[in-house]
Amino acid sequence: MSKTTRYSGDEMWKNNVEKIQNSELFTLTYGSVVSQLCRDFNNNYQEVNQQLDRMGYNIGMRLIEEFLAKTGAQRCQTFKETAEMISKVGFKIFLNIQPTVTNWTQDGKTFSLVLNENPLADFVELPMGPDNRICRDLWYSQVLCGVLRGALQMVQLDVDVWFVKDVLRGDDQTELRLRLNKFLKDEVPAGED
Amino acid sequence: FEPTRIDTQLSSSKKDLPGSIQALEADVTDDVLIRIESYGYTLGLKLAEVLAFQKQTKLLDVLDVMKFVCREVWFCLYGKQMDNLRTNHRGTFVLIDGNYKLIENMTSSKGTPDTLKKSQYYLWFPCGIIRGVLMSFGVEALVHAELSQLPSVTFNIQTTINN
Repeated sequence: MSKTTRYSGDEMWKNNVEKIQNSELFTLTYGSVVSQLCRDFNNNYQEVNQQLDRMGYNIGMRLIEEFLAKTGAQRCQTFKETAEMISKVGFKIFLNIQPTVTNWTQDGKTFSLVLNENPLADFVELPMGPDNRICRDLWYSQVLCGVLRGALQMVQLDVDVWFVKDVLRGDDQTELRLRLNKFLKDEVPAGED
Repeated sequence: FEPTRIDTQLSSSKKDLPGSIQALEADVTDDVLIRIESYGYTLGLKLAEVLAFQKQTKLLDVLDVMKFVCREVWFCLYGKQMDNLRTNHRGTFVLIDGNYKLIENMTSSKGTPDTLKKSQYYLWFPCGIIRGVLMSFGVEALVHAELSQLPSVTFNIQTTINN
């Protein structure tokens, strides 16, 4: 991890973050968003995933500003470093968890984040219907994928993020996968030349 | 599915791209507002249970429930209490938050009237929360928020209970 990062994620969580009083509030709010989406889209869970991803993307685009402002982090030199930064600083300061970075592919472009705990999914249980469709189709915490993608896009990293496992679906762990597509070029936004 | 990109149109309204608030520029339909309200409503229903369990408060009548909203609920949501609670003792309550956190820092580049107009949309969510909390304690209510001077918000609550 870059030495120029002013604080470690741990210290930042303790001192520097305006925390909500009640973490249940956060969990419940997210829960009501997901359930409302399911209702709005008539339990078309693919569409719900898409919408959650989109919300996350919007959040991520703005969240990266806060992240940079708080950490004073410099540009990561390698994608490995980015991975460390995401798990040890990013997740730590916003959610107070530290996912494990594993399963690197040979080319160093794809890795997994294993979430040992997931604050979004506290008290959540997916309702088991007769066809169990919700467990096959819905990625409950899809918003995280969007957040990561949006945030990384803003620092010139074009990535794909998706869930491969989720405890809520009955898997042994919650696992996110990140794949680096390409480094985007720094470009002047249209109309600001 | 197709992931959202920086140039993905989010809705049919013009230039509604990720990271912009163009969506508020177009006319927000009642359908959307009702949906936002119901986000709040479901949250309120659940939040009331969690808080009532944590605080172990005794709520004897409607006024107690309103006080609960002003103190516990508001503190949980925004880290502060409601500034004022008024009632006509006939089922109407007025809750005033002189510095409502959600819209505290909002300014539109087009001036105050525009800020007011856009902030208005954000008030449906807390209205829903209040309605949900009240419903959770068995009080059926109509909640309406008024915004005259930023960032002060007045919540008017109409209940059917007379006492």
